[in-house]
Amino acid sequence: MAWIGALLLLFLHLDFWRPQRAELYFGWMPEEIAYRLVWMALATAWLVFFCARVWRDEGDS
Amino acid sequence: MTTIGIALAVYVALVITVGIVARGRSSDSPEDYFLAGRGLGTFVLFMALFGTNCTAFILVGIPGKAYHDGVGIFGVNAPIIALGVPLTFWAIGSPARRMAARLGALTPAELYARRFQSKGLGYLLFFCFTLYTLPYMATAVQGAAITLAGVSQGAIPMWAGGLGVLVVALIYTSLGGMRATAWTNVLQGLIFVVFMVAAFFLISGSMGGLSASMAHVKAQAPDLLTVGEGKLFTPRAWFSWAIVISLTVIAFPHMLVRLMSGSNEDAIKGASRLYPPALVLLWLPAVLLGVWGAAEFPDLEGHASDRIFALMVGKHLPTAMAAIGFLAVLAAVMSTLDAQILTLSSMLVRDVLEPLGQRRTGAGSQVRAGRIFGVAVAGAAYATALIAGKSVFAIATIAFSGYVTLVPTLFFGVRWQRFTVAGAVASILTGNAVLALALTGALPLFGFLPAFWGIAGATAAAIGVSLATSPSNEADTQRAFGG
Repeated sequence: MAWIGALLLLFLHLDFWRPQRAELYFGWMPEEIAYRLVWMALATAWLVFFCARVWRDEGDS
Repeated sequence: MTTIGIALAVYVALVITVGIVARGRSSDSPEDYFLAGRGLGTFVLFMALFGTNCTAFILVGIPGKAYHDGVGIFGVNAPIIALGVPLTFWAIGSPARRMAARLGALTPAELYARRFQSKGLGYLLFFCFTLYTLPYMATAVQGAAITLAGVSQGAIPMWAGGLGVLVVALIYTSLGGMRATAWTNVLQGLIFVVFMVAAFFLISGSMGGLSASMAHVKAQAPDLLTVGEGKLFTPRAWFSWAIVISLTVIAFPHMLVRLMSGSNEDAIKGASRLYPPALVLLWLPAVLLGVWGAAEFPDLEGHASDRIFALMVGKHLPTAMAAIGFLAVLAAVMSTLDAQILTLSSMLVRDVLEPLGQRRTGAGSQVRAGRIFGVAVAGAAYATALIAGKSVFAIATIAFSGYVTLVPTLFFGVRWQRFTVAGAVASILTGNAVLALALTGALPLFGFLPAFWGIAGATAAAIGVSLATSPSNEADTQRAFGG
C-alpha cells in the first residue's frame, strides 16, 4: 500500500501531461508552485504514514 | 560596512563559544569527538543534517538559476528532495547507524571495511570520498571568499576571506568535534532559514506586496511562471535528475556520518519528517527572489545572475537585514565545511592511520590526531581552491556526480547479506568508469543524465558480481547484521 503511494507520487512528480499556464492563485502564487506545494503536502503525509507503519523500529542491538 | 563588521564579529564569537561549550560536554573518546557519543536527538540531528545538506548554493545559486529558468527550478528540485532524501535515510542511514554501533565503526568507510573485513574496500571508499569532497569544499571556500570580498568592497582580499572562514570553522570543529558542529549547525540553520523567510516577506513588501511583485513578473516575463524547455526540463532529464538528486545526498560522507550520530531510530524518523517543511521554507523564497529579480534587473546574462541575491537584498532590505543576509550565506558555507573537515579528518584517523598499524594508539591520541588532520584537510581544501581557481567549479560538478556511483555499495552493504566485497569493488569501479564514459560523450545517453548511467552501471555490477562470487564469511555477516 505504502509503495503504491510512493509510485503515485513519482507519477505526479513526472507531470509532463499537465498543461503549463502562467496563472496566479490567490493573486500571487504561480500555478506551477501551487501544484508542487500540494505535492509536497501529500509527500509529507505519506512520509508520516511511512514512518509510523512501514519504518519498523529494529532496535539498537 | 560597520554594521556588517559587527554582525560578523558577533557571529564568529557565537560559533566559537558554542565550540567551547561543546568541548566542556565532551570526553576524550573518539566516539564522543567524531560522533557526539552517538547521542544526537531529533532536533539537533535534523538541524545538523539540514545545515550540512544546504550549502550557500541554495541562497545564491538557486536565485541565479531561477532568474533564467523561472519557477521550474523549484519543481525539479525541492519536491523530490523532500521525499527522496528521507527515504534514503530509511534505506541506508538507519541500518548504517545500527550496523556502525554493532561494529564500533565511526566513519562510513570504516563501517563497510568492518562489514566485509576488508581494509582494501575501506581504502577505496576513503579515496573516493576524499576525491569527491575536496573540490566540493574548495567551491565553498571560494564562494565564501567571493562573498566577503564583495561585501567588504575588496577590503578583505579573496585569499584572506577564504582562509578566515576555514580557520573559524576549524577552531570550533577542533574544540568540540561532532557535538560542536551539530550545535553550531542549529544556530547556522536558524540564521539562514529565518533570514530567507524574512527576506521573502520584506522584499515582496518593498515591491508593493506579493500580488504586485508577481503581477510585475507576469507582465515582464510570463515564461518564468511556467516550467521551461530543454536542460533539466525534458521528461528523461527530469526523471534522471529526480533519481540522482534523491540518492546523492546520502552518499556524502559528511551526511552519512551525521546519521550514524543519531541517538536512536526515532531521531532519524523525526528528522525525516521535518525535511519537507524545512525545504519549502528555504527553497520557495530562494526561487521567488530570483524570479522577482528577473523582472526588476532584466539585463543580467549567464552567471552574472548569481548576483541577483545580493542585488535584491541590497536594494530592498535595510542595512541591518542585509548584514544578516551576508551572515546567512557565511552560515550556509560553514555549516557544510565544518562537517566535511570533521568527516575527512576522522576518516584519516580511522580509515588510514589505524589500519596502517596504529591500533594501539590511545583514545586521546586519536582525538589529537583528528584535530591535526583537521588542519591538514582544511589546508588541502584551501590549496585546492587557490590552485584550481575558477575551474574548481567545473571539477566539483564532475566530482559531485561521482558520489552517486557509491550508492549501490552503501545500500546493498547494509541491506543485502549476499552482497560481497568483490561486488562492492566492482560496483564502485564500474559506476565511475560508466560515468566517465558518459561524461566524455563516449556513451549514448538517450536523453538521460550521465550520473543516471553511472548509478545504473554501479547497480548492475553490484548485483551481478555479488551473485557470481562466493558469499562473505557467514559469521562476519551475522555479526554485522545482528543475526
